[in-house]
Amino acid sequence: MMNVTAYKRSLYCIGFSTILITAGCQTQEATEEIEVPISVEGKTTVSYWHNLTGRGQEALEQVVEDFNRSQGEIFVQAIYSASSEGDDQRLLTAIAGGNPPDLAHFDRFKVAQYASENSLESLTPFIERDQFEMEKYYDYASLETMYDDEYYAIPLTTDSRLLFYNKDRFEEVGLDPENPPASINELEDAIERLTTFESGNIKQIGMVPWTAQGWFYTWGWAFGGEFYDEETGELTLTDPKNVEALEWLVSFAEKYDAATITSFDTAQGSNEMDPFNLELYSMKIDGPFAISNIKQYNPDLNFGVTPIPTPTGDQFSTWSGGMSLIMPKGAKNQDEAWEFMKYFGSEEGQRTFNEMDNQMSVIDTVNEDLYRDDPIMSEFIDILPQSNARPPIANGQFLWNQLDKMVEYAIHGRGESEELLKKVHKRVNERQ
Amino acid sequence: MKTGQKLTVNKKMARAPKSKRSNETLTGWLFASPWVIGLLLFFAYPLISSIYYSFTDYSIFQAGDFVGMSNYKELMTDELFWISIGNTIYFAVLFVPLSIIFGVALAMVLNMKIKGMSVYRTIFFLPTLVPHVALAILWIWLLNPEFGLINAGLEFIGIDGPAWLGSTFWSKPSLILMSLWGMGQAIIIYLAGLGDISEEYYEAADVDGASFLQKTFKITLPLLTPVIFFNLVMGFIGAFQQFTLPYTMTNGSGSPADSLTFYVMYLYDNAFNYFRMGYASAMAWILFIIIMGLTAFVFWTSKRWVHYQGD
Repeated sequence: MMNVTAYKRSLYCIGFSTILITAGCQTQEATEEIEVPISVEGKTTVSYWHNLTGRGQEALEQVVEDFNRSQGEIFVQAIYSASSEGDDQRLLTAIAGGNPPDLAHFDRFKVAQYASENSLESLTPFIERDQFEMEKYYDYASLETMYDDEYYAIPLTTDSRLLFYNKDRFEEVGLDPENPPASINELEDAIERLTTFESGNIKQIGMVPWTAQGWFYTWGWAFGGEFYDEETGELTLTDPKNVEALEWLVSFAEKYDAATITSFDTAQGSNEMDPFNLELYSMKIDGPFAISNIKQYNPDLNFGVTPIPTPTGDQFSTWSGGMSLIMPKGAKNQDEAWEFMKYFGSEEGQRTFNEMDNQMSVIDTVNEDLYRDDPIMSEFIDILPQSNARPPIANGQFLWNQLDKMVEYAIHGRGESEELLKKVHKRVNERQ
Repeated sequence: MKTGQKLTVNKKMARAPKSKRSNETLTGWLFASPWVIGLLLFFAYPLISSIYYSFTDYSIFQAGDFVGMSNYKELMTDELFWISIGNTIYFAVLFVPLSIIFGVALAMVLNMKIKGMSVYRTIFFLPTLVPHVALAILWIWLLNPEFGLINAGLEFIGIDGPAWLGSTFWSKPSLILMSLWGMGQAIIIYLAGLGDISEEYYEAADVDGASFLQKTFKITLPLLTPVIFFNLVMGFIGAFQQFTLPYTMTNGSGSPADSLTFYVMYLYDNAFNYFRMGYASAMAWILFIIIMGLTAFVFWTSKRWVHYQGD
């Protein structure tokens, strides 16, 4: 006969341990949980995860507030959700676990990769239904929201890359600060004049082309290369112009010794140690996000910006990234979420957000209004019509890492330029 | 047969309730159940499923199809897989012996009976309290060839320091140097081992007129071998899982030119950046087999060189 007290006791035990486990889980959650969902009577709550802090967060909350005030049926709740190390691991697990937010702030560069994993809701049905104009955005920005001929995101912000140069240093070595280098030859000449040695060691470098935003994409496009054929959806990494760009980087590395110059950069990432801010480098390729760093860490730096030099000295180009708004697969309040997407993507939403956060909009008229009077920022928006986006392929992240490593292999003398490009091309295609 | 036994037991303990022992077992298991369930759910289950996943193209988002050995086959031709193994072995083979030599030497120094020794011991233990991420950033600055403390020091004695983290040749030695910084934990274990050696051996040796070196090599080191053995095994396991320092220092890129791409970093990239969980699972199992094999080898050799007191 099963002893009743023993039975009871085991029930108590199970109950007790369950309480312990859940209690344990809950205390941990309490500190980690992002935010309790707010419900407003008569309204549908749309949850929106973002990872902005400071000015960015204030700007985003302003957009959300403006939208909510104009709405009778929808309440958007902006929830801060940190992404660690640039990986969106919380979002990733939420989607995989089938319990995602309705909206998320997301790096546009990763849209194609997530879409190819079937983890985003397609926006094409909504866009077609409401005849929403994707044409109002810069071409490259809307291209980057596409995968397999469907739209998966609404672009929100953008950036571009230019050559920053130190005007005082230019004058010191007899270069005209109002006529910065336009061709690669002029750039090489400027670098040579701006580089100083002291007892055999480099003391100042004119520029290290691959630092800051000098990615391979930057130079490939500057040399007139292409990485992707929109028509066929094929990568075109081995474009002869790309090979030329890589060879130029290698020739630079040989001239100034790669190890010595890379080591200048090992402290990169910490703003006060930025070699351009410290005036160790007289030039660098960077984006508008570098401006506030300069103002904070070296406010007296007299600098200018100019398009990235090209072999011909004209036909300048650049490339852009930026953030977007996505609807994760399995979002519960899709129609309501779409209403907010439309608002954030409109001129009004764009203006509110980008003005407050000093970001560049994906709509040209907004940028004209915001930045036309700023001599530095207007250079950044002037180049946008010629801007490129990275190939919207499923392996975008892999390609990025491979190109980054490839430049390092090339400049450290571990392979011929063309062979290295072919290798990356093959590797990425094998993973398609 | 068993009931018979139980009956006799119960007869002897007349006041105990029926089947008290099995009840106690049950109660014991129930109290242990949170841990047992946790172990099965969060350790055993993922462990077993990762074997299965290593034969699929699972991507986190999608369940993935069974692809047989193809992940393992692809790994064999994956250049970066071999580079990362090479880097990891390079690090382990240099770091582990060095950490033992320096660890034992320091522990012996710190074991001397000098006034204020506890202060010295604390100083050597302190670096292990610094989080790895902070340690990485600190060392990036120390090793900076232009404004770093280390090259400034070398210059002072007339040596032109290398580019450290900027050069593919010096990047791994730099990392080994940095890792040796965190030896405090091992030193504590060595100190415990040293304290465990009976004074009688040294007294006997003194009577026989043994020198300091003789005492070190004939008494201290042989009797410390069980602790060295422990640190050797743990050191290899740790070295093969090297991740935080190189990941933080290179922003996950393993630069320059993959010279700091370690096995677990490449595994992490595949899993969380390229969504190739199946491929990463296969890598995890290969790592497991390598560490198991190495540990088994160290255990096998240990019969020849590990001496336990009283043996």
